Amino acid sequence: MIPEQEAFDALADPTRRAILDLLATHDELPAGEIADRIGHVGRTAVSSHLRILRKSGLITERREGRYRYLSLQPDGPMRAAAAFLQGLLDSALPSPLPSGTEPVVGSNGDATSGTAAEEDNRQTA
Amino acid sequence: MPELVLAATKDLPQSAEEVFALFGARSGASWLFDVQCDSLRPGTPVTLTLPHGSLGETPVHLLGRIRRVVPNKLVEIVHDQPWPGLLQIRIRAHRTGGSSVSIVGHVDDRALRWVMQRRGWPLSTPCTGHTHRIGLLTSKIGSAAVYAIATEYLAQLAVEEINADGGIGGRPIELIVGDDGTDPGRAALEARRLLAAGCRAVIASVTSASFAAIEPIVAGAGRPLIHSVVNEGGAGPELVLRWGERPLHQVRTAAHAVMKNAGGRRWYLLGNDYQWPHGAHRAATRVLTAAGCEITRNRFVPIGTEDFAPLLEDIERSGADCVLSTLIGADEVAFERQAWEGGYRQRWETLSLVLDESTRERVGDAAARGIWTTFGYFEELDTPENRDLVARYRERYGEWAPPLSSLSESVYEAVLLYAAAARREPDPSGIAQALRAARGRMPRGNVAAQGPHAMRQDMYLARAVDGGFAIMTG
Repeated sequence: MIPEQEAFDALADPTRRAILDLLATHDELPAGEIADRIGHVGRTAVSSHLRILRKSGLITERREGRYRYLSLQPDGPMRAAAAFLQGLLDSALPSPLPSGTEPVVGSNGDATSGTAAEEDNRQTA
Repeated sequence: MPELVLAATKDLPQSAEEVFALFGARSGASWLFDVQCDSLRPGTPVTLTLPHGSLGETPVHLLGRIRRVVPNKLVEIVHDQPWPGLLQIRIRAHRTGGSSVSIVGHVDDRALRWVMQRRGWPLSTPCTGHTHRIGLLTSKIGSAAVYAIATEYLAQLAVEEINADGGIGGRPIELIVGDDGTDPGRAALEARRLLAAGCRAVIASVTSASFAAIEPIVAGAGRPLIHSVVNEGGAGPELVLRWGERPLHQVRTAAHAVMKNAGGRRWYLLGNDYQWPHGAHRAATRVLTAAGCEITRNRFVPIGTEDFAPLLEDIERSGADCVLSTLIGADEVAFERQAWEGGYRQRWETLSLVLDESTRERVGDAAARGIWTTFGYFEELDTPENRDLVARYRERYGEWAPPLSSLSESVYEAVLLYAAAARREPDPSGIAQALRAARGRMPRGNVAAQGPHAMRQDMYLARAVDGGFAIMTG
């Protein structure tokens, strides 16, 4: 998985989303205060979430003395979204296998065989 | 908006002709997100399905149309849902017998913002205070995305017109768009986001199920909420306006002509399982039984139903002469296509209450021919205001933009009527009154708010023909 695409997995966790929501309404916050405000998880867990968010490029850290200030990475999500779209486009290319009779990998990862019967169920939405 | 260009290329052992033949082919090897289209001709609607689970549980379909084809060399697709863009597919033959395929995608930041929003990124759009923000809640994925396809374009057109005319109270209108994904839970989240972004009002082009979810949120925040599209009506707080066509009016307009053509009075009612179809079937039952009809069955299926084979058999077994469909968007497309493919089209007359221009074109000319519908607006409508609107829409968005319909055009009118009311009543406490007195000469004709919630408008009966609708006169 390319680093930018980790950003989307980072968003899958509700606590991390709560941290992002918090940072969205503040220019920056010290790590300790984030831990205080996200009450339902312990400090170690919050630290771990912050590390994942930093690693995925969604937040950035500024150190001042012994304090760490976290803020949203302004272009992190845009870059992550662009990388996601690039990944989609890459997956849209045809596979190098012959068409029709041989098993091919379908769009949801299951092996399917291109028989006529299956196609009766497909329609243009 | 700055454009983003993405590209992907691959060399393949297949020849250019073999690769081109696979495009849209109804076989397991179809590529480009399993693209589905009835033919490879400019203007033909296409549907691309993104890999399952890539953006949540709801399947994500790109809805667009073919713009250009050069056999064995090039296919261009413009798409509108869930975001606007252009895909250029080029196939180059190699002298050795193989080929290479390149796909170039052009998008702008609407694509990026939709993707980020879908994945839960907290999109904060800080309010500068220099603009008058209004929210548009529409559906970019899910069943309703089919008929909502032109909604944002029409809203944007209205906003540009008002701003060219000085905006509201000297401030330009800024449109903030939300996507409910045809899901009431998501509608509620998006409504909150629109309000948090400072929207002074919300115009909703969403199902009644989503509308019910957002009504307490928007009205509770003291903001006007306008349901501009077809809806079943209903009482509510004074800040809630429900301006769309009512099912009673729709059915009254159509019932007689449909039965006359059917030569029979037995009706089968079929719709999606949520507030509007239930209200529509109650209204239809009233009108039809008063006209001496028999309702053979009254069926509801979940939004997102794809297989209508059992229902089609049931309709046939019931001996119905007429079918009333209150299926929406992609569900209606699937039902009508399967009805035609199964040879059922000639066995009964169909009145479909949400068969708009976009839904009809995805059903396809052959499969849709003869289906009846009624709306207060059709793209065809020959009023001076509509000729003007259609010309401006085509000039602004090009010949490949999706068709207009009552559903999308209602949003254009709602923005204009809201702006007129907000200009008259700069004080937010007076806006509800002003909206309830809304009236104007619109592309669909003269409209006037009637009672606290409804909008009086003319209703037209039409039948699907190749390329659009024939509006019945007299």
